[in-house]
Amino acid sequence: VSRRRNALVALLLLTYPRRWREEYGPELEALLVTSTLTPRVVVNVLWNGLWQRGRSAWQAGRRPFRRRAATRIDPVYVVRHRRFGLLRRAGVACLAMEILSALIGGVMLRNTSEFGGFVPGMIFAAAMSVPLVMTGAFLVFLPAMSLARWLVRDWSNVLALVAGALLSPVAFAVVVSSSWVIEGMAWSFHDHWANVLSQPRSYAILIPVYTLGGVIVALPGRMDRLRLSKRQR
Amino acid sequence: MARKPTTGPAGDPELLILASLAEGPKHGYAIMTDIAQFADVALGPGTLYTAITRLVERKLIAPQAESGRQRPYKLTAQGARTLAERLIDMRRIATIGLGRLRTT
Repeated sequence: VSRRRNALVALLLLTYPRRWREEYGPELEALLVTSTLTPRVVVNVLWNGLWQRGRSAWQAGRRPFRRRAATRIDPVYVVRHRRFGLLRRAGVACLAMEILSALIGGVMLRNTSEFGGFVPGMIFAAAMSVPLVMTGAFLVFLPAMSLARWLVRDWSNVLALVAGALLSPVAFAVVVSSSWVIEGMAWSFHDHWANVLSQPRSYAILIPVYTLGGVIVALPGRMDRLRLSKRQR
Repeated sequence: MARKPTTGPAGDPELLILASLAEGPKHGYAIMTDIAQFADVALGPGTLYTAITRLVERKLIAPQAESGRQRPYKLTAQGARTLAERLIDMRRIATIGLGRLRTT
């Protein structure tokens, strides 16, 4: 009975956010172990656990706009955060934003009556919107957001940032211009882009490079934190 | 028998906790039993700790050194001031309300 009770208490505590558990978890656990676990108590703890989760999510949403916006738009930005929870939450939000951006971009391009002398189809529109979103996020948004924070602190941060930001579009250009990636060698502009994005090889190159770019961009922030924690020790 | 918090001061767990801690530092279980005694209100453990979290964040109460797994909390100077202000407000409103009831 006691084992089942402890398991129930542990489960109830899991409804609270991790940071809250670290601060108040042992106290609440001690209280629950000594109290009678009636259905009312269980519902009370469950409800308040969910309330705390909602509250901490809302508080996280009140972080400076720059960070909040960046985590919503660029998945690479969230690599800089070492907390899995934030990475997961931001990652899901980012993914949704990227899909939405790609869809909007796709629809807009599809509705353009003339684009380079031909009427673009849906495959072309989707093919174009993906690199546009990726490149835009890398080249414009991420550096602009991050430079403001890092520029005054350390020039090596800026260099790492620029290297990371350049990697993805460079890789994309290499993939697009390499004929060995594209099977069938259809060289009309429309088919060319559509082909690139329909080849699994393109993704086999782009995804690791994109990730590497993210790691390089994430590195300075991580190193800053390591230096800081060393100094604190 | 202790009842479920409803409206008014009995439905305000933060005020009840502040009032309980006005007597001296207490840990969670002691606060819960004290409130059940003086206010006849049964606070759930979840409600208790949600209110404690808010009070700590607003610096109205402060945790003290742990004794075992339970950590006592004490009223801060700011917490004492807030409690006094709220109780005086409540007394003023209660006096006016009761006075008006007598005249009708």
